[in-house]
Amino acid sequence: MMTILLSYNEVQTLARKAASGAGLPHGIAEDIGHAAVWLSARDVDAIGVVVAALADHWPAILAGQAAIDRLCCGETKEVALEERDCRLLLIGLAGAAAMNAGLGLAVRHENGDVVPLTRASEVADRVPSIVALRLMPNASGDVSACFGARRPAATDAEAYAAVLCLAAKTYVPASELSRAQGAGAGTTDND
Amino acid sequence: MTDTPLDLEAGPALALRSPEVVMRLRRMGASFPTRLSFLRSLIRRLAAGGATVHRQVWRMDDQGFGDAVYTLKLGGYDYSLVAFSCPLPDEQRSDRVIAEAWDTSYVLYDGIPDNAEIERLRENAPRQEAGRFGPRDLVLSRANKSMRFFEHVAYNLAHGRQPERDRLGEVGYLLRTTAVYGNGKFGIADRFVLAEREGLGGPFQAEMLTVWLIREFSHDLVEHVARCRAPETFVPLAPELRRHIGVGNSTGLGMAPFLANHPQLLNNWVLAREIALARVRSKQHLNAASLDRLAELWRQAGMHLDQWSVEDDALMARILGLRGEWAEAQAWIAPARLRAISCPVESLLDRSRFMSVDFQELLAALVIEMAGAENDDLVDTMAAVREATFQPGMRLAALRGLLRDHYGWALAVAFDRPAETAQFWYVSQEKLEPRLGRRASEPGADLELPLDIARQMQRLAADLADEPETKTVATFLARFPQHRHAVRRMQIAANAPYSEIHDNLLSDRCLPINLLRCKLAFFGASKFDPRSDRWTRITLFQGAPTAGEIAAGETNDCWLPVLR
Repeated sequence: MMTILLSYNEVQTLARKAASGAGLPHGIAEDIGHAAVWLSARDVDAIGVVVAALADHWPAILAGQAAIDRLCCGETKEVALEERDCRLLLIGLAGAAAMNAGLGLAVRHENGDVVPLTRASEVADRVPSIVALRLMPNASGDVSACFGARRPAATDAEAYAAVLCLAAKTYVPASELSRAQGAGAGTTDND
Repeated sequence: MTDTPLDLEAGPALALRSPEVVMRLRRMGASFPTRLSFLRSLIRRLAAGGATVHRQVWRMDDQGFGDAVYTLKLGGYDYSLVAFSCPLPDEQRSDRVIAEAWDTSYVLYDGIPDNAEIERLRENAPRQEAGRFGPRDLVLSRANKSMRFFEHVAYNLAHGRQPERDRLGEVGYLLRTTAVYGNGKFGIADRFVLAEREGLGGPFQAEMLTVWLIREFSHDLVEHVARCRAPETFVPLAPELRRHIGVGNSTGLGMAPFLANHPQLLNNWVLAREIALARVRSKQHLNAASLDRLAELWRQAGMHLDQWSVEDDALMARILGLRGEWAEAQAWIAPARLRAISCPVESLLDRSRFMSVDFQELLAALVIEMAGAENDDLVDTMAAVREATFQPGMRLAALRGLLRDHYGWALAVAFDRPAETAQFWYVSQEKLEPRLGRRASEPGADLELPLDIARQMQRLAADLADEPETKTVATFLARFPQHRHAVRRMQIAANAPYSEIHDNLLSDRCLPINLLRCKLAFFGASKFDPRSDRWTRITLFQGAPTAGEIAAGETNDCWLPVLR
């Protein structure tokens, strides 16, 4: 598998732009950018996660974000993870929200066990059996840190190409007018 | 460094200027650098840390093409500027971001690069955005020679003469950067790598260090070229002229949305400056040393204004007006008068309300300068590691309160008038940079950037109107997810009074040059020289200490450079 090594800023910016390009509201896209950073600091190819989730899963993302908001303010005790393709993105959204609030994140498995996420490396390993998310009063372990590693997890080259395509949907093609005036060319470009 | 906003309630009450006054585009576009500006704080840190610059590598041919490495230690870490100088046909030399080749290119490197790393950077740095960089590459930049000045200096030094003072005053730099990239762009290191490091943790400190070292490189490069041309008659730059040669910079729309996109950071910058101003304003009396300093700085500012001339008619008219006001107000600072009244700084600032906005902002910067190190503690409050926490549990009653208290300016915009939506911001597919279009005549408004803060607030207010006050933000956003961005901004504004620009950025009255000048003044830029209402040239580090002088700290000309 071909991969590319991005910076966190690139991961965040690309994820946000891709979400906007897919048509999600800007505020949600911002959160997806934060979620991508949270995931990629935990050994997850966040760009791949975002690309997969943005493929026709709009309603699940919006509903998931709304549920995470209710979780964060105590209106619900648990967020169910129903759509498999969105599961990791929702974990990222919840993880980033919990981190910002200084809270811990716990996961409920299919067998009913509720386990706190305390180590960054656990995130990807536990995903297949996670069915719901909960918050804990205090964050602990390296999962509470914004950046688990100096560089994000490597990005799959195909996912990278796909995220660039989504991001490109937010760009405006150049025209003669924009080339002449869009950047405000002055009388002299040089000196 | 801290990302905690200052507590306005702590300590004696300070009379801060209102955001309604401070955060208007016109006033932001009259900003001057202050002692809190980022290049000033870098100079003080370099001096305090005893930084010594070593030129580790200098491999230049007689034409001045080759590479160089400058290294210094700061806060226990080595940093190196790796510089490449290449031949560039005149027809390819452009200030604009659309350029694809430059006279010189640079990377600020984390550590001291070995030959393999220099080779890696040689393959990538000259390509700039088309190159690929890694975690040890902290800042990426490029610069072109000033066609007005570089050859003039090389020619004169080679013939045993110093450059003409008039020409030096007119240009002020040998090299002009057209981009200084940090924080993860093109694969370079993310800002958090530096955020905890002593010396480079503050905003744009790594970028400022890069520019300061580029300035050193520019001095060495022109001397090298001159020396190689005529080693027998060559003379080096006179120290006072060398000090007056800064680094030029061309800045355009790519930078303009930054302030709107980083509300917490904008607040922290402005709040630090306003607290400094309020502290000085609250002084009951000025001692003799302060009065002398005030008079000295007044003269310096007057000389700076006299030496600041631009082609832009609108700004030149303002500069001429400011020169006149400055001379007219000279009598205000007569020591006998200021000694005889209580709160003399408050008196000066109050009196300035009847002068132009340019005068008011220059006077504000001057009195902060007069106070010297008293406000240096505020520098540590200017970073923002991340924006404030989103609060989904907030009740809509509280949200309405925030709207009422902080967004009256937004609710007052008459969006039924076409002039208020005449412009739209977008990202150009061709350059991946922000651009500004005319809504009536250009395509792309359907993809506009969310810089329509006032319009977003009005739409939010409309949807809030019929919602019960006891509902939470979480419940509201589940129904109206399109307002999430606006709600987040409002929650930031609750504790960050200077987080919003109190003008409509879509209006046909919005001039991006005002955003640029505000940000660049916080960098410490001077000699603003607009080339249109969308991009400007500036000078950085003019009058600041060179590498050989850094141990002595700031010079008298660090604030507003003057060629004496």
